[in-house]
Amino acid sequence: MDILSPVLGQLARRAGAALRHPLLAPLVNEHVVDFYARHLHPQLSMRQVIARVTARQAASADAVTLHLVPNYLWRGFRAGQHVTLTVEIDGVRHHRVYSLSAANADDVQITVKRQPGGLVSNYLLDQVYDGDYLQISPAFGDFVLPEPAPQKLLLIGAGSGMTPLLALAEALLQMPDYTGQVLVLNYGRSHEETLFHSRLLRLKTLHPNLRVVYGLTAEGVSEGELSGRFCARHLDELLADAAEWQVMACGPQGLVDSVKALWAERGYPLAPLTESFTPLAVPQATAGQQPVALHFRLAGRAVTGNNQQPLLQQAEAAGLLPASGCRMGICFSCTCRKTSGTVKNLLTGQTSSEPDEDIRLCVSVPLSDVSISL
Amino acid sequence: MSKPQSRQLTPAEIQAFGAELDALRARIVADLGEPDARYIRKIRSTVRYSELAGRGLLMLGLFPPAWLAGAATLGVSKIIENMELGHNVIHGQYDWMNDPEFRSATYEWDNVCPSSAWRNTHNYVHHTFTNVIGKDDDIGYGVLRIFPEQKWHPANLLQPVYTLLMAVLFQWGVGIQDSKIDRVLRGELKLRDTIPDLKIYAKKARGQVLKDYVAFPLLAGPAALPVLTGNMAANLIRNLWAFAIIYCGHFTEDAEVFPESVLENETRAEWYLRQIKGSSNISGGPLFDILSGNLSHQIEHHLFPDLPGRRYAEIAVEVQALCARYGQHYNTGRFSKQFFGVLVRIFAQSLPTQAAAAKPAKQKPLPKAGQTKPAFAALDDLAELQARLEARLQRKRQTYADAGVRQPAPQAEALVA
Repeated sequence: MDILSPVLGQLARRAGAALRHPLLAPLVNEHVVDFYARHLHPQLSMRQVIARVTARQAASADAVTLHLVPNYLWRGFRAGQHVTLTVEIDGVRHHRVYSLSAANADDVQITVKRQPGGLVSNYLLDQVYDGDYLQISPAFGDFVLPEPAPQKLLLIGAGSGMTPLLALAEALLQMPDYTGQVLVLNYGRSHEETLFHSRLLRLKTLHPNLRVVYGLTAEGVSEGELSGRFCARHLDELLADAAEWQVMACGPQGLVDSVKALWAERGYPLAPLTESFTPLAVPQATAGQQPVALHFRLAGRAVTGNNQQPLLQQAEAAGLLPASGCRMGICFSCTCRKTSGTVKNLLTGQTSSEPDEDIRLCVSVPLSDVSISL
Repeated sequence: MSKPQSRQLTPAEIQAFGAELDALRARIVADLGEPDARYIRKIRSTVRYSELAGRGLLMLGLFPPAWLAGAATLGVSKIIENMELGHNVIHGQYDWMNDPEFRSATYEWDNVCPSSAWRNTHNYVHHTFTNVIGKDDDIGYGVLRIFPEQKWHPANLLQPVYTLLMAVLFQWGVGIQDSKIDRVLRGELKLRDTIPDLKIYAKKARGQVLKDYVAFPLLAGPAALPVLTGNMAANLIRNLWAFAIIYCGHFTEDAEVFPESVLENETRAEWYLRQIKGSSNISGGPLFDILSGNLSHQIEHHLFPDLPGRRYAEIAVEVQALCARYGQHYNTGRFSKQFFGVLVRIFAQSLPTQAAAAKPAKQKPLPKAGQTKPAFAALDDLAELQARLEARLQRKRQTYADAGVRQPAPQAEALVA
């Protein structure tokens, strides 16, 4: 039975929607339905996007690209977007966000770079093979090509930050009548560790309006390559008209910060579009903190917390085990109903005092006494 | 009635006793992993398959043997779902897996009691204030007089009848507990104060009734009636069993109750001791453990309500040895013995007696000369016990050393001497 065929997929999607009908909902438990559905086909599910790994391909000496075929609940994606991947290791589920590294909607792929000591990256590189199934979220994120398509696009990436940039470069260059310029700056420690050599080479052969320059931070460079991390000198060596280029940067926080700072310093008109995968620096409790009363309603616990750390951290410190995922405000695993109190969103800096609103515990800091459904 | 025989511990001993339990807990937490996840999924699968089989057989219920087998299978399925899966998952025993299917905050069990109400009356009130008169509603569920320390009321004369009713309608009684309807009947609360809780209860109950008594009978077509009666029988089987297991948890002959004053400045170690004195185990094999949701290890469950139930058997070996070393009574016995003790209490306490003041554990007088024999019986075997314990600790240390885990603090031996 090919559950991925358009007809059966459509049927399964409709069945799932029917089971979620308000009349049936009180009688239907999603986990029970999924339990029986899995027996019919591993990718059959009411709500979860389950993807089959169809191929593995080296992307560099320490990175691998996994080609995925998601089930009928997959709604496609735009180049530059990412998914949250869920894997279970020693009985514990872990979530990680990975950018999709291709532009073609039929080709869902993620590229995983081995992180020293990284639990999930090492698992994906060493334990996941063709024929395995992975749970992913629908694609999300707004790190996508601006409208209209930029005629001069500069893509600056470092390490695994190259994954969405490759998709963005492919997407732009494959537009039917695109005649603009694309410049890719691909930074890494060494030749072996920079991603996508062969993919970029192939793309360059097809599209002469693409230029790729490598920047190496821990190895001697040859002609036409850049030495060290991204800096003003690199930009000036490559582009005389940098003010006219739309820059998109992805990588560690340091890279993103230096791009933003340079663009601001020079007053270039096109604001940089950036994305950083470095987890939020979680503020540690400091001397200036104030105590706040935290009421975890479902657990029936009232504890004294502080107005410095995210609620997730404080709930865990109180011995609770709330659902959590990325711990950086993107996966919504820790979403929880706040019934009263004021919280500050660490990502946006906004404060909110609405009663009965859903907040993400990992990026919400209590500013007053707070009551949450946890 | 014989009274539990526990030696009075010094504050330093109580603290050391608690520290050993903390260390035991830390060792188990560090060891949680794939086998525990695999176990609870196996239990989940057993529940699903047995429910499917039970409901399937009931569809053929016009044929009496199929009805009998169906009702029994569905009854056992509901028992495992409520006890080993639901009760334990709602306690947060598997929250560390981060799997939405086994998440305490969202798990909804196959029972008319809403999980949210259960989290309040059971996880919070009962597990925090275990056997404290006036605080723990589970002492007789606001209806029964179980201990002489409770005040007698003429209505208690009929409590054997209430007990029978509560057994038959167990899930309904547990469900309404959170809305404190008993206090409304006694005039302590206004009905309107309980309406929000009653609404939550009604919503959950409606779903359950719709499922077992409307939807599945309708699906069965001509076999609607056998399915309806079969579902009733299954719910009854589950009710009676859950009632029996749960009443054995804290109402047995040797179970102790406490006055509210014990809660003042109670340390974690003292809380541990209260859990041990207020709870009672039922001895049995692995199958009995599963069917009782591991409440056969009620003492261990009360010490560590958020550790996976499958771990209680191994924890019990250590807790029992610990209790013996510290001269603390470890209340365990066969099901028949424990349940008989509960029935005796229910009948005996239905008759008027002066309410005995619950004695604070801390001020308990030392046993009189004539009573010391049972209290210190454990100490007679001390040498042998110490040797056994030493051998086990040695084995444990080897296991931990092999696994590269830091060794547990060997503070146990010093105290016994």
